[in-house]
Amino acid sequence: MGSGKQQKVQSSGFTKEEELLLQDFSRNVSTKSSALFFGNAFIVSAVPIWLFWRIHNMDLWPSSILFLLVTAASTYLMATAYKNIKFQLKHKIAMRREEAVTREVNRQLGDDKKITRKEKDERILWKKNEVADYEATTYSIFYNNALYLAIIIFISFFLLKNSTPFVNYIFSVGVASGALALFSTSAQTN
Amino acid sequence: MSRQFAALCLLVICSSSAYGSSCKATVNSFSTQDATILTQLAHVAEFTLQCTGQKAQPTLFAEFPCGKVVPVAKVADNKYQLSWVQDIKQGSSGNVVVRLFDEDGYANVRKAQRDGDKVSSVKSLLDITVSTKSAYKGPWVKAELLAAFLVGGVAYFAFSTKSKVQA
Repeated sequence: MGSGKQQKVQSSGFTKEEELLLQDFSRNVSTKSSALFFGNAFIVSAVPIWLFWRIHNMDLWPSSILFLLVTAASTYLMATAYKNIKFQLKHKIAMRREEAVTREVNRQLGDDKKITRKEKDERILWKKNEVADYEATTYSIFYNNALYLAIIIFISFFLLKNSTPFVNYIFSVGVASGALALFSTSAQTN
Repeated sequence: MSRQFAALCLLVICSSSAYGSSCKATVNSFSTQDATILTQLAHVAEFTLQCTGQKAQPTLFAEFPCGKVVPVAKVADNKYQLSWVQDIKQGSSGNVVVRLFDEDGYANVRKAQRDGDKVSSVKSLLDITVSTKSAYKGPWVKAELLAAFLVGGVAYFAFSTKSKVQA
């Protein structure tokens, strides 16, 4: 895997440092991150099924097709929202953690004379990227899940409390995941 | 079932009172316990009447504090039952004093009503005290409201943290 990546680096014409910097700003997520996002998105999208089955008294089996379709759509939208929010946060977190990561890597390497300055910078960059990626991933999941559940509870119990459970389910889950996916695409203007 | 029985036993208030010198009553009472899916509360009072010097078991009438007079059901020898319902909003715990009249007393009550006199001035056969208990009307705070506040707090924390990170 390492050699394959090296070849890719060489063929793309970027140095390893440039590649790391590109990763910092990249919107692409790794397969592992993607699996994590879709797994989380599926779990959080399936939670309202319990709510509408047990609390809003929807029949589980007759409504299973609806549950399946809405959960699938919600999973996709939530995964998109996770990805976008992660992208928004990753670079900011990387900037905030830069100093601490540099200090930590310098302390770890100490007076190792074998490592060149360039290698040390690359290692700092790699570590910073890893820390920012991890923090942005976990924070993105937390942020979207919290807002998703808050919107669902608000819509299903207060806004659409007099609607039929069928309409209530479609709109509360659809609006919550749709709104999060939509607002996650917004660019911040400073 | 055993819990209901225990609750019934707890609710049982034995009150004995004698008006004049002839009659004595032992009262058991029961009130609706759970009013979450009801519109009215029911109260039932069962009492055993022991009268000295009276051969036949009298037909009884009861007057509630609101002034309403109703016949009392006879469920067994010397055993009578009295029941009434009230709106949940008006339901409260406490003692209700019910005045009992025999047929002669009831005739006097009717006469007083016809004449526009005070029914309270008519002498009752016996006054019994029925203990009523308020019913469970559901939790003070609804679960969905609590859940909304909790998840709203978490969402606010998430949102403010994101703004802080992006600032």
